[in-house]
Amino acid sequence: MIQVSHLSKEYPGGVKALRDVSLEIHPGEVISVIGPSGCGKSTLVRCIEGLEAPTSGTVDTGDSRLGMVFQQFNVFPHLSVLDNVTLGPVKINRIPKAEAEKKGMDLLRLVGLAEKAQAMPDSLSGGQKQRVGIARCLSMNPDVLLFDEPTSALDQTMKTEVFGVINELAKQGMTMLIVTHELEFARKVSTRVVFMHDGEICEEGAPEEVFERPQKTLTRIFIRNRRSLLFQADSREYDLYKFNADIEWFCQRNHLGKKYFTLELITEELLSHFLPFTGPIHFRIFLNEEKKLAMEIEQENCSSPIVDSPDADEIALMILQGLCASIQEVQEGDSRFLHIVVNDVYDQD
Amino acid sequence: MEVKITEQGGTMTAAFIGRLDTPASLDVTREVQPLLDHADRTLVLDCKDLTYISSSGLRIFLTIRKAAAAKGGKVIVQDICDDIRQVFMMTGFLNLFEVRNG
Amino acid sequence: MARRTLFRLLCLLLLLPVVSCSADRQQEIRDFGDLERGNVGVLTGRSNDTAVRELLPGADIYYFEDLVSMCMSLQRGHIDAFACMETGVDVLLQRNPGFRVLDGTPEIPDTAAVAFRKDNALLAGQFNAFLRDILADGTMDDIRANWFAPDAAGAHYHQHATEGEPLRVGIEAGQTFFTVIYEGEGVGLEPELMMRFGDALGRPVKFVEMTNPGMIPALLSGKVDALVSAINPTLSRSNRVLFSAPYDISNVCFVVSDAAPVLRRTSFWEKTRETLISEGRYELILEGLKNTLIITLLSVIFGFLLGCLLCWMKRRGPRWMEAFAHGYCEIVEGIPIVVLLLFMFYVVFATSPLTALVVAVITYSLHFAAGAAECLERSIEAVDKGQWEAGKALGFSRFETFRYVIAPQALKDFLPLLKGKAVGLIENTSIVGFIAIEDMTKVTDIIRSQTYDSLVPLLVVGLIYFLIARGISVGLDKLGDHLNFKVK
Repeated sequence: MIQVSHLSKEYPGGVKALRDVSLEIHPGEVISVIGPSGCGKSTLVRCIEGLEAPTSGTVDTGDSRLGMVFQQFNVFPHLSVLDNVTLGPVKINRIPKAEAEKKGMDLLRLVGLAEKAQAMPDSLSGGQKQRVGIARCLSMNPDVLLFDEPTSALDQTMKTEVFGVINELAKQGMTMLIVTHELEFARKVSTRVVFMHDGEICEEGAPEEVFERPQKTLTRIFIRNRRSLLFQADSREYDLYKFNADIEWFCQRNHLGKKYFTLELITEELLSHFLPFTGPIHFRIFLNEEKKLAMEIEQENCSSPIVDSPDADEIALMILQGLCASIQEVQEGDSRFLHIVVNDVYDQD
Repeated sequence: MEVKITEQGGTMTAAFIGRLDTPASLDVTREVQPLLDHADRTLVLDCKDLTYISSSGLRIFLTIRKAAAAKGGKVIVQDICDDIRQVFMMTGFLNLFEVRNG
Repeated sequence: MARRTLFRLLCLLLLLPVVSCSADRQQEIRDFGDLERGNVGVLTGRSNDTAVRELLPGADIYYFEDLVSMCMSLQRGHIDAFACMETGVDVLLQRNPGFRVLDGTPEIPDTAAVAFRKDNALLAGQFNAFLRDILADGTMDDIRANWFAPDAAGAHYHQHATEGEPLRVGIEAGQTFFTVIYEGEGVGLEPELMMRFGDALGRPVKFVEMTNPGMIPALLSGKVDALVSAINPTLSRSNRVLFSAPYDISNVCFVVSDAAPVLRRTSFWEKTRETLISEGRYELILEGLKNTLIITLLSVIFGFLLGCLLCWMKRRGPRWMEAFAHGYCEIVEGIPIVVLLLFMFYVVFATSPLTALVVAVITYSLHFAAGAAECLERSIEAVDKGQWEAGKALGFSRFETFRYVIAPQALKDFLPLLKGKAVGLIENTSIVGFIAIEDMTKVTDIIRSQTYDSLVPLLVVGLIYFLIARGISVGLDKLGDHLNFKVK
C-alpha cells in the first residue's frame, strides 16, 4: 500500500502545484487522476515516484516497488527494443542475460511487440515506443505502475494500442495510478477516479459516481465542458468564422467526421433567421446520454417563441427540420432554451 | 466566396467557389445579376467547388429560377456534393431544379 | 574525402618550389649609399638595430628572429642587405655563394657578452676573471681560430668537469659558429667558451636551448645561471641583468648578395636528401616527433581525466566547486596557450626542478581539461532529461543511469567535439619551443639554422602534423561510427 500524506509542492516563484494532498493506493486498485491542465496531477505522480521532492508532506511506499511510464516514452534510443527491456534486470538485478531475455520476450509478447524485439526505438511509432516503455517498466517487477499522461503525445489509433495494454494489465490485477486527459478511458479502466483542481483533490470516488453524479460544481463543470463545445454570441456582430472553426475542432476531437457541416448549418440558420438577439446567446454542443449529438441554445431576455415564430423564414425552417431529430423550446426564467437533437439519418461515418 | 460567370453560345455558366453562407450571400446577389439579365437563356449553376450552402444561398438560387421561369429560360444545377444534396433534398430544391451530376 | 584532402596537399607540395623561386630583387646595391633606399634586415634583440636606423634613416628596416631567415630573405631578394656581426661572417659567406660584405661601411661597434642575474655578481666576477685570463694567455684566440679561421677545424671541446653543481647556460642557435645545434648539442664558440669557464670553476655545464624572447625571463626566474648567444649588452637590458665584459668585439657589417635571387639550383629531391638524410637530420625530426607525441598523448589522457572531474564539479559539485570549475574553464580558455605556457614555466614552476617537458605536459593537460570538460558538459546536456528520469524510475542509481543510459548517448556528440579539441592541441604544441623543448617545430628551426633551407623541413614537418591531425580525426570518426546507433 502507498500512503501519500499532506503532500505540498511549491515551485520557485511561488506557484503552488500541490496543496495538502493525501491519497492511499491499495493493492489491485486502478486509480485515474483527472483534472484540467496545470491542476497538479503530473506533479503528484512525479512526487510519488521521487522524481520531484515535495515541499512538505510524505510519500510512504512501504516495500512496494514503483514503476513509471512517461508521456514522452523516454525509451532508451541507443538500445534495441529487447535491450530496453533487459537492461534493468541484467545490470541492476544481476539476472543472467539469457534468462532476462526470455522474460523480456514474454513481456514484449504481452504488449504485442515480440516481432520488434531487435528493432531500434527510432524505427517505432509513438504507440509502439510507449508499449516498450510499459514493458520496460514491467521488467523490474513493480508492485505499482504510475502513468504520467501516457497517451497525450499520441494520435487516436496509437492511443487505442496503449489503452489496450493498460486494460490488459488492469485485468491481471496490476495496481496502477494513471494521470490522464482521456475521460472515457479513465471511466472504463478505473476502480477509483480522483478529480484534482488547483493542486487539491476536489472529488474522488467510483467512476460512475464522479462521472454521472459529481458532487462538486467544479467537477461537474469540468466533466461537462470536457465533452461540450461552448460559444456565445452577444450581438449580430458575432464571429461566425470562429464558431465554425470551433465546431470543426470539436468534431475532429470527438471523431464526428463531417458532422460539422450539419452543426454549422444549424448554427447559421438559427443565428441568421431565428434568434432575436434580445440578449447574449449561449450555444452548447455535446453528446447526450444516448451518444447523440445535441445542442442547447439559451437566448437571454426572451419570452416569445423562437422557432415556432409565425414569420419564420420557410427555407431556413425546412433546413432546421431536416437536420434536427427534435427541437424543443422551453422557457426558464428570463431565458428561452432550445433543446435540439441532431438527426443522424444522414451520417456518413 | 467567388462567382465566375462565363458565356458560351446560348449558355451562361456561373461557377460558385467556396462557402455560400449568409455573410457571402450579399455579394453573391450582386454578382449573379448578369444571370438575371439573361434569364431567357440556359443558365448553368456550377457547384463543383461549392462546399457549403445555407438558406440565404438557396434563396439566391430560387431568385435565379424565378427570373428564368419569367423569361422562358432554363436553370441547371450541376455537380453538387453529398452534403449540399441533403440540403436540396430537405428543402425540396431537388424537385425544383434540374440537377445534373457527372 | 581523405583522398581528396591528400590530393589537395599534393598540389600544394608541387606548387611550393615554383612559388619559392619567383621573387625578384628590388635593386642593385653597389655601395653603402644605395642602402639608403633599400630594405635592410636586422636581428631582433641586437643593439645594432638603433645604430642601423640612425645610419640609414631612409631604409626600410626588417626584423628577423634568426640569421637563417635573414639569409633566406636575402637569397630570395626580399631584402637588399642585412646587418650582422663581422665575427664569423666569413663562414656565412662560404656557406652562401654570392654573398659578400659591403665595403665602405661606417664603423658600428657590436659586442657580445654573457648575461648573469643581478644578484649573482659573484659568478659574473668569476667569468670576467676567467675571460681576462684567456684573453691574456691566447686561449681566446685559439677558440676563435677553431671556429672562425678560414680553415677552421671546429673541433669539439670536451669538458673535464663532470662532478659538482651544474652551471646552467641558456643558448640560442644564432649566428653560425657562435652557437649552432649539432646532433642535439650546442657547439660553437660560445658553448666552448662556457665549457672552458665551467672547467675553470670545476662545474659541469648544462646547456638549455631556448628562443630569444624567453631567454631573459628564464635567467631572471632562475631556470639558468647565465645566457650566451651573441647577447649585446643594451642599456635596457643592463637594468635587468648583469653583463660580463665582452668576449667578442667586432663591427656591424652589411651583407649583400650578388647572385641572382634564386640561389638553389639543386633539384628539390637532391635538396631533400641533403637536408634530411645525408647528415642524419631525420633523426632530429624523429626526436621532435617523439616530444610532440609525448606532450600530446599525455595531455589528452590527463586532460581528459581532469576534464571529467571538472565536468562533475560543474554539474554535481557543491556550489563553490561549480563556481571554481566555471571560473577555471573561462580563464584557461580565455588565455592564449603560449601565455599560459610561459606563465607556468617562468612563474609557477620557475624554481621547481621539473623539466620543461613535464611543465609542458602539465600546462597542456590543464588547458585540454577545460576543453574536454566543456565537450563533456555539452554532450551530456544534449541527452534528453527524460532519460535520467527513466533511469531513476527503473531503480538505477545516478551513476548507473549515467553509465548505462546517458554516457552511450552522449558519446555520439562527445567524440566530434573532442576531435576538434584534440586536433587543436596538436597544433598548439608547436609553440613549446618557447620553453626550450625540441618538438617538431623547434627542430625545424634548428635544421633551418644548419642548412639554410626552410622549404624541406617545413614541408616535412607540416606533412607530419597534418597526418597526425588527420589520424586523430579519422580514428575518432571510426570509433564514433563503431559506437553509433545501429539504426538512425
